Amino acid sequence: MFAYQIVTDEVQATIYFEGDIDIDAGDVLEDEIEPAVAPYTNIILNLEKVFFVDSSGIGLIIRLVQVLQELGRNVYIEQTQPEVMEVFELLQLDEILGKEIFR
Amino acid sequence: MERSVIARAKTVQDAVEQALTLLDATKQQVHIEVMESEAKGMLGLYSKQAVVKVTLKTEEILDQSLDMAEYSPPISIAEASVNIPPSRIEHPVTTPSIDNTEGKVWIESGQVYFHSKGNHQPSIRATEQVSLWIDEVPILAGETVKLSAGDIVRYEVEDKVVEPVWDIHIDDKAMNVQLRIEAGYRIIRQVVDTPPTLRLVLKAEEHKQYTPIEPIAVRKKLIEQKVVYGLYHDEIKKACLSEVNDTFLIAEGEQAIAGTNGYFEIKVDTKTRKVQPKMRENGTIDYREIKEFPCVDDGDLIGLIYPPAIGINGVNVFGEPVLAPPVTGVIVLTGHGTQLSQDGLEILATRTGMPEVIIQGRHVKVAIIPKLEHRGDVALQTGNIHFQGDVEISGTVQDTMKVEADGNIHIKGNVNMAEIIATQSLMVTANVIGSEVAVGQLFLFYGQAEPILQVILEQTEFLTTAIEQLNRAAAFKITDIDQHGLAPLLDVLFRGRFKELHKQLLLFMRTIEEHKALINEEWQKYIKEIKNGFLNLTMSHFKTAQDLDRFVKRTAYLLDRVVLPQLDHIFAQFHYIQNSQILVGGPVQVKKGCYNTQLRCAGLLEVTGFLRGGDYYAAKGMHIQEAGTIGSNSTKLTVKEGAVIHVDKLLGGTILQIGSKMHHFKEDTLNVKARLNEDRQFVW
Repeated sequence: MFAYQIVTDEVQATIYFEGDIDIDAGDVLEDEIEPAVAPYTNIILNLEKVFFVDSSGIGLIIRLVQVLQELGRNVYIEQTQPEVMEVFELLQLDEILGKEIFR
Repeated sequence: MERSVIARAKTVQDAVEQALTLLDATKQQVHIEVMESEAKGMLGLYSKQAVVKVTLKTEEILDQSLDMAEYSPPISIAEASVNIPPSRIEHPVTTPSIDNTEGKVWIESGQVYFHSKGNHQPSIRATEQVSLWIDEVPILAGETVKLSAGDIVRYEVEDKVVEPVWDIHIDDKAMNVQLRIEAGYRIIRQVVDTPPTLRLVLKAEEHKQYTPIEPIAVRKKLIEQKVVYGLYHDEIKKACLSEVNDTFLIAEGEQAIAGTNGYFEIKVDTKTRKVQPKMRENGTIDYREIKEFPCVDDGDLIGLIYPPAIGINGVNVFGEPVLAPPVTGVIVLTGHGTQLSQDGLEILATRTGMPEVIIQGRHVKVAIIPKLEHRGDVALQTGNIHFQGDVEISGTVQDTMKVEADGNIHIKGNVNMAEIIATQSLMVTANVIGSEVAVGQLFLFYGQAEPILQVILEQTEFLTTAIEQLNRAAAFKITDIDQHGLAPLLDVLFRGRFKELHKQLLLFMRTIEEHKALINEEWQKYIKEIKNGFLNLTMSHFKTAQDLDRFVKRTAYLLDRVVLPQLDHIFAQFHYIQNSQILVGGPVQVKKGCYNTQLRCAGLLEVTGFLRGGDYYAAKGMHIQEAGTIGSNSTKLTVKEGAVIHVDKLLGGTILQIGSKMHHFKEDTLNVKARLNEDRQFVW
């Protein structure tokens, strides 16, 4: 189960993820979320309601963040659950995406 | 300020008067001290003058004691000395009887007594050392007070107390515990008993008494800090009684004793095998020197294995073991014709041949290199030769035949339209015509592969652990593994933690591509596994950490294969080469010459004859007697940048290349020593 909600103001878009970010989230992330948030300067990925991830899902997040960063956007990941953060740390996501992205 | 005058006269009286005149004072204003009384001698002989010291009283004291001035002792002494004969003065008031305590004060058993009667009032002076109260009124230090009957005199002396200070320090390694002491003491003050006197100055005697530390307190602290081993109880006792500030070693752990690493001792001579065979003047090869290669027989001892001696663990002050540094043993790989004795300490030969011992780090590889002696030609009748060891062929290698040896090859006849592959060295006494020759190529590959495989091994071991860790993480789902294997995970890991592994895997693939022709099935299988397991990032045939572990084991096995000695015994020697392709991983010597040949070697190319037509590359330089073609075929000589091409006689039309700089010699030139100068210009 994967759902999301995007809250925007003039410069900022916050994506509230809900459910598991896994292999099944791929199409939604690429086809819906990416074009929807790309115009905003600051993009925040809120993972408060994400309790499980798999490696494909993490790959998708990396891809999304890197695409947005290449467009010159400021991307942040916030309110990550500690269990999910543990997985991120084991995979050294901070090294791939930059430490400042997590807040 | 006190003013005093010492006066001398026939009598005390005269002396005092003289002094008072000098001081311009009255008797009431001064203290008089008789220093010497006069003595009358017989008939005026031996008579002695009187000496007095007269001191003017200071204003305050004068004011305070005005009313008692007439009772002050100096005056009475002065008066006494005037009125009383000298013999009486010799018995002063030092041993008073009960009767003459009147007007005096004294201390007996620490108690102040005084006898004040009427105008005979004794006085007492307070000091810094002793606090004094008269009728509970504190008296300042230095003040003198007159005592009246009924006065309550109380004094107090205060002891000075310095508590001992101590602490325990355990060093970082928990091998030493030190007790630092600042000695504690008590200065006990006691007022001294004084015989009756007119004026009492309260003085105290001081005794310093050291305060010992309770060893129990120290022990308790040690237990709190979990120090249980190596305690020096006597030292603790000594420290507790210390009267000086000091530091004591009160517990000490036991250091670990290092062991020794295992090693291998070679018991046969293996060195001479590196002697290269020499070429005779007539161009044939003197093979006797190869026969001098060391040889062992079945059952001979090749070497002894000394196992490591494990060190002795120590104990720290917490009673925990201090591990002795680890020791390593040698890992013996018994190759062809060798076996380990039953106790595992001896390596024995199981056949006759040349012993080969390769020691690299902890690995010892031992093998007996067998030698195949092939009489006659290698032809269709005999079949190709593939041999794990040295090969000696007395005849010719004929058309389409192949000779492959894991070792050295010596061919006494011709090599005609054939293929020769040797892993170490090749000597061809006669001619090589229209053939393909590769010498020591695999070694080149091994040399390149070893460091890469080393990293791949280490990194994949870590990778296995990392994946096991991830599988234990609560929020990690493995739903995608059935479909894609570990590929999505590897994709993420190769971007971050295992970037280096990815790089090395790609490098390995490139390296192996260059040597594709030489590698066997084993390696083919391995690169297939790398491709399908790691490099396809949408689908990996690795699904579990166990799959990876199998890959780790295969890597370790192959790494073992490529750990090989230096390449100093890779070389090739030829007599004459024509229309052939030669690849050599070391230096090459050609006696007579080469015609229309492609030759590449990783070492130096020495030709004591000619090079006519063809393409010659030698990484480390060339020394050629004659090069060039009179006909139409061009001759090209190439060396690496930094190397030198030395040609005694160079024919016009020859091209020389050093690094990327090329020069076309149009004219015949003698004694060419071509190289690049500092400006990377081609000079000769």
